[in-house]
Amino acid sequence: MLFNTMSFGYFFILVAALFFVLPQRQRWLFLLLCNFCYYIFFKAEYLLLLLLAIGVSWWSALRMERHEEQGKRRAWLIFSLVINIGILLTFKYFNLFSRTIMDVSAAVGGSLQMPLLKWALPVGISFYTFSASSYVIDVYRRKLPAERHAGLYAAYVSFFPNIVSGPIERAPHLLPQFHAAREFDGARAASGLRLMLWGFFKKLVVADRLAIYVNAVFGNPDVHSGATSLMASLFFTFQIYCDFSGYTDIAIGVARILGFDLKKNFNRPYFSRSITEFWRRWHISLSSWFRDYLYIPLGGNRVSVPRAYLNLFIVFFVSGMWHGASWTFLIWGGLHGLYAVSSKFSQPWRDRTATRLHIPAGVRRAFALLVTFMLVNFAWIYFRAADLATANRMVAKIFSADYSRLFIPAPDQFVYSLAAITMLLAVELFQERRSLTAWLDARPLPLRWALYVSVLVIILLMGIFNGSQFIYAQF
Amino acid sequence: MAASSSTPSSRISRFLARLLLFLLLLAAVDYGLGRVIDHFFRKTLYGENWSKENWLLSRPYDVVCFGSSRTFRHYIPAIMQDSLGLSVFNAGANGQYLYYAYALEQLVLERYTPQVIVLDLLPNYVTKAESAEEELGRMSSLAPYASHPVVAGLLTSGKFNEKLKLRSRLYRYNSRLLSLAANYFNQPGAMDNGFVYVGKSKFRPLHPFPDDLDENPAVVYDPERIKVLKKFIRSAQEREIQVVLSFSPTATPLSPKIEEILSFYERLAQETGAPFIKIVSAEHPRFYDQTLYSDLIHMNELGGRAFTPLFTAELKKVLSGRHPL
Repeated sequence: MLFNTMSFGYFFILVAALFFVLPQRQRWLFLLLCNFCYYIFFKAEYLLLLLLAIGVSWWSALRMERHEEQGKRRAWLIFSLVINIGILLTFKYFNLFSRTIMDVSAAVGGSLQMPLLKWALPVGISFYTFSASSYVIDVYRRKLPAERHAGLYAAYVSFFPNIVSGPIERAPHLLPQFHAAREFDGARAASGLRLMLWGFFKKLVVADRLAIYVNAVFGNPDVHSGATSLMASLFFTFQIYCDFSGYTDIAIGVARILGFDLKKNFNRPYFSRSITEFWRRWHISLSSWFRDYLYIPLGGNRVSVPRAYLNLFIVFFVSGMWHGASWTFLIWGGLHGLYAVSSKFSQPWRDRTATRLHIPAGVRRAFALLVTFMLVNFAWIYFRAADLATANRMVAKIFSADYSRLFIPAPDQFVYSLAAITMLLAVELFQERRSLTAWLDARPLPLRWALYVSVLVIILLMGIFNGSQFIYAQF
Repeated sequence: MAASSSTPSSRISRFLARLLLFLLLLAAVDYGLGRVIDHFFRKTLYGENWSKENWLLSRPYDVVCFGSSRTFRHYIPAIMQDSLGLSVFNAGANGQYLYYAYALEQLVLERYTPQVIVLDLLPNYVTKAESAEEELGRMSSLAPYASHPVVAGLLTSGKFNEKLKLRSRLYRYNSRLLSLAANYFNQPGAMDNGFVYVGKSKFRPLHPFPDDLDENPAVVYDPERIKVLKKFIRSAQEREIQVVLSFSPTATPLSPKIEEILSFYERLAQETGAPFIKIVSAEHPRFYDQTLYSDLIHMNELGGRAFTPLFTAELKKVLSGRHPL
């Protein structure tokens, strides 16, 4: 029951209607049941894993709080992390581990057979594991008191708008919202609907439209030219952004209608002028999670320069690992690590060169934006490719001299793709300069409604309504 | 401030009233703009391949050839017209199979009664080589005709959500606006009543029949598709239209699986009383010449020019009552 299905529409209308009709004291229970129902729609068996993650983290935090002794607190922390992250690692990496051992065995002439798991990855496991783990760590660090109400805690971890693909919510931000009384607010609901509308535009008009071309090229890289491969990689760069940020916009919109605030997860990342800035604007909830729970504990930048570079590289590499057990994700993370390290390393030299050559600030900014975009675009090739060989073939094509022909299966569909990207960039460029929300709120109602209706007309005429999966739902 | 001082129920009522008003506005825009697009769509005649339905429906043709990409490439209307003295339209379309042919036939029958309907058969018209869902999913070009019950039934497969989507007049033109705009200014040009002269394209050993791609050596018949095929034949016969089933040549010999399906078609032809013109390369070895093909099952223009006179001669025999059933 993904956001872009009619079933979700019916589900959400029912949930929103009943939520505000019920008395305040019953709402958390209703929401919890809705969370579980939503999750069961994907695969009922995996609800047990979700309950285990909730139970272990909730119980560990409570036990931790009862102990003043640091050793015991740490024991409960480790217990919780081992169970929760252990499940995540098992599902994500067991098969890679088994296959690697078998490959190594075969390479030395052996024939060792290892078991392979045939289970699909539980929906949202990477996201709820991180939410639950951050809660336990925060309680351990005494930044947060342990939640005594198991139901409210369960409602926080399993909150249906963000369980599948985030944003990864931290307990200090979201958990108190489950304690607070919620009243219906028309303005909030309208702003939630507006965000959902924009999310659907991104998903249906941009992401799913571009996916048609991207799938055709990445699915058969050998027959396409360098120009086509480059076009497909550029299209994927926009596809993944619109797919993921579209999901996030809908999630935030849904939560907002119910009276909850989820954290912003994207901030127009392709307008970044450095890789560091890109990661401050892309998947913000994950990058800030890694910053607070991995980078800073590793020492952050308060260590020697080489160690700080290593820490930075480790964070990006682990971020690649978080996405899945595949060399392509590791290379994607590694590339971003290399970009970040080399960006920091070369910063003084670049500044000196720009000053010496008297390069105007505007030109420098535009160049930085273009270079950052192309670096990110290059890394996405590894992220998208089915395997390393496909990614390498795509890269080889792009750097070949074969730019004579561009694959355009249907000219009108290609024009729709370009038009979709243009509309997206126009809106994002506007938002870079001023707040679209504030601008809209200052317009008279007829103009606002005319704009909303126009977006809906574009969705109806140009959207792809095949109910395709959100890319990040697989993580 | 006003919102916070009002009661929750009054705030909800006010919001719902606004939402309802907005939805009404959306429905009005959808209907109005949809009608405008509809108006231009009906005037758009000369589309290619999937968008030539209006051309077919705009005026009566004596002979209409239905089918897939094989029909689209093999039956040259100009040659048939010269020989038969009847107007002929090639309604074959790439990637479309029986369900599309049936829907299009129903739209034709709603508007006029041809003298002859030809259906070029593909083996997978009666098998489960491809899922019905996949086949029906490619028929969105017929969405503007969703007011016809048969078309609506096929497009929605009876699903409530799909029916709901088709209520939107704009959605019926989803992803079609640009091709519609281009077709609006189109003239028949090099097209010949639905047929496009593609020239002498080179042979590539690609695109076998979907049934030959299926690893299962046994033929798995699809009762639902067989039912639709019989409906295709009967609904025309009820209007006293001569229905002719046909099978055109292939670049290589037919597999035992395809031979078995052709035997099924022969039995079906007997059962329904529809003549079956089967022109296979095994009986006409000159059709093994690969210069006549662009791939394993699709002839190029040379092939079409070789096949159409042969088929038309057989069709003439049918029309004069000399073709054995």
